[in-house]
Amino acid sequence: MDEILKVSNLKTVFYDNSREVHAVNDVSFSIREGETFGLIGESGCGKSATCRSIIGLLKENGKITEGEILYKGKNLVKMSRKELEKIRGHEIGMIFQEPMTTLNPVVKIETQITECLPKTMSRADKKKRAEELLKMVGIADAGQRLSAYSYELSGGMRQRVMIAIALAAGPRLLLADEPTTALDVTIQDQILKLLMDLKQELKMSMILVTHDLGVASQTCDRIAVMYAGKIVEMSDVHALFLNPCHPYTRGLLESIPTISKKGSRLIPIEGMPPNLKKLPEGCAFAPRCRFCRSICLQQEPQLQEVETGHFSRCHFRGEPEGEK
Amino acid sequence: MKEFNYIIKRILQMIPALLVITVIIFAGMRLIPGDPAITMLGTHYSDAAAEGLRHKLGLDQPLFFQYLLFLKQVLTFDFGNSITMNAPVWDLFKQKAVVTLTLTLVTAIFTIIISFIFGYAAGMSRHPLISKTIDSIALVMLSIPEFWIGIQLMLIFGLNLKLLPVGGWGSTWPEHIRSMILPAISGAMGTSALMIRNIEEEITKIKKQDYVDFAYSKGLKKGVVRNRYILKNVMVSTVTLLSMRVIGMFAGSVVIETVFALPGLGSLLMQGIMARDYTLVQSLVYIFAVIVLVMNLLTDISYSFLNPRIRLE
Repeated sequence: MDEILKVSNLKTVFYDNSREVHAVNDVSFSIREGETFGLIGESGCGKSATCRSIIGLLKENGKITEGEILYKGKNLVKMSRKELEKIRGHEIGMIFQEPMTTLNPVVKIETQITECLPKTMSRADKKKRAEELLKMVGIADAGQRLSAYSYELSGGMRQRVMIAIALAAGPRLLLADEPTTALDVTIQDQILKLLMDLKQELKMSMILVTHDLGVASQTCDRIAVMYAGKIVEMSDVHALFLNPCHPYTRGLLESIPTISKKGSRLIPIEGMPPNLKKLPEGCAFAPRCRFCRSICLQQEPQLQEVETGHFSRCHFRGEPEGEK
Repeated sequence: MKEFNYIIKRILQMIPALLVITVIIFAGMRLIPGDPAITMLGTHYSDAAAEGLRHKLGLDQPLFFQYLLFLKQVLTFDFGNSITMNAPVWDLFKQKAVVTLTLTLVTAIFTIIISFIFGYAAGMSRHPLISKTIDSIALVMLSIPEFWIGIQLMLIFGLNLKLLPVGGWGSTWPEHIRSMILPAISGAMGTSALMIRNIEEEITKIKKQDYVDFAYSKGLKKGVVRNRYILKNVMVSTVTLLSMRVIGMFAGSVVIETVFALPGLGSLLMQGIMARDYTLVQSLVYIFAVIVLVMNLLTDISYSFLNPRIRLE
């Protein structure tokens, strides 16, 4: 399979009162055609910033300082605004976390879909296509909903509309930034299933950003775990869940409640993620790590291949000997 | 149908409001010291003449009867004659309203042009220097009284450059419009300053919204996002402010009309108050009240077009 997206050594910095916040710090990964790639981690670990860097929509105080993002061989970082406008929507689409605030409140749904369609289409064709798109995302009375405004729809419905809009121009790669986080659990499942079905049907690739390991395990082919702006572990989904190598990944997995663990206490990861303005020397996770050794506090580990296609950023290659 | 019911309801709600207004106007006018008979007679004053005039004007009737008479005028929209100007109030109103209406219209146009250009520039600009400069100028404009701006403009464009008339209304439409330019600019400054700050604030707020990012992520052109996503949402609050100020201009352009010697409603009202012309002032203020109420209703109706979340119910 060909690579559709290749991110190399991406560094994204946010400027907060002239202090630099390293939101994305030397991140590299690639996504193959048709693959679902999961980016997981705690809030503020750089998942969303990575997504926004790819589509060129960082907030005003954010900037990509290093690295390249190759989409089908073309570097998105070096593109002009005009070139990016052609990529956005048509090649790379994005769906956002908050369905309540992501639709324009004063414009009808129909317009928000049809404006993404090619200008060469006639009005009637556009309307027909918009209705098809709404049907595709499982909205029953699609024809009527076209003339609705976003405030007239429920959260789950808005998320469906948002997906329909993002898919309108037929993107090949979909960035889904926590698409289900703001929804009820029952709706979450429906939306997730819808996304996976659509991905299959339209043969898209997808980056799924989530902090929910359960969601990631069900949907992703490969997963990258991010911590403090860096990828700490990356592998295909089975290896990651069966043989987690990085202590952070292990910590995350141990903190998921399951039925079989019922009665036993969950093991939390102690402490807080580090301040991105002032990263500690050595391994960023060391202060919270159960297996921390003196080398961890002095020297930053590199991302090393533990087994084929399975990378971990830990000095101990996944075999830390006992707790400290 | 709901919309129709809403409008009917709103019109019915105006009735008690207008009744209260008649009481306030009537009482307010009588509470001002002074007597129209004395003012009218001036140097020809004698006790007998004043008595006769009061009788002629109906001012010797008990206050309650005078109020009922006023109510009758209000209800029939036949306001009677002005006491001092010897002409029907309605005719005077129509004649002067043309001037004030033109002034309001031209002022509103200037306000819209000035405030949207500068508010848009200040809000959209990524350079803090531009927005800060515009902001500071707006703040200064907000603090300068409009009559002072009026006098300065008169000095520069009227007296020194002799480009535009210093005052007056002229006798043909081209003259009317020319004579409106300076007063309208003076009147537009304060409101524009308010609007600039409002538009800037709204744009800064709205351009950070998720739906704007989402719009860009769809591949929409910058212009489309700015018009359909940012400006359209900015309009919701801006129209409220503008309409409130325009209504205010129509009913309260006394200062500008006085500075530029424009024979409009503001000047008429001032003359009426000075002469204690009860009929004229009462009727004028009442007409203003009706206009304000109607304009408010129209504004509320226009909201439902701008902001679909507002329903007329």
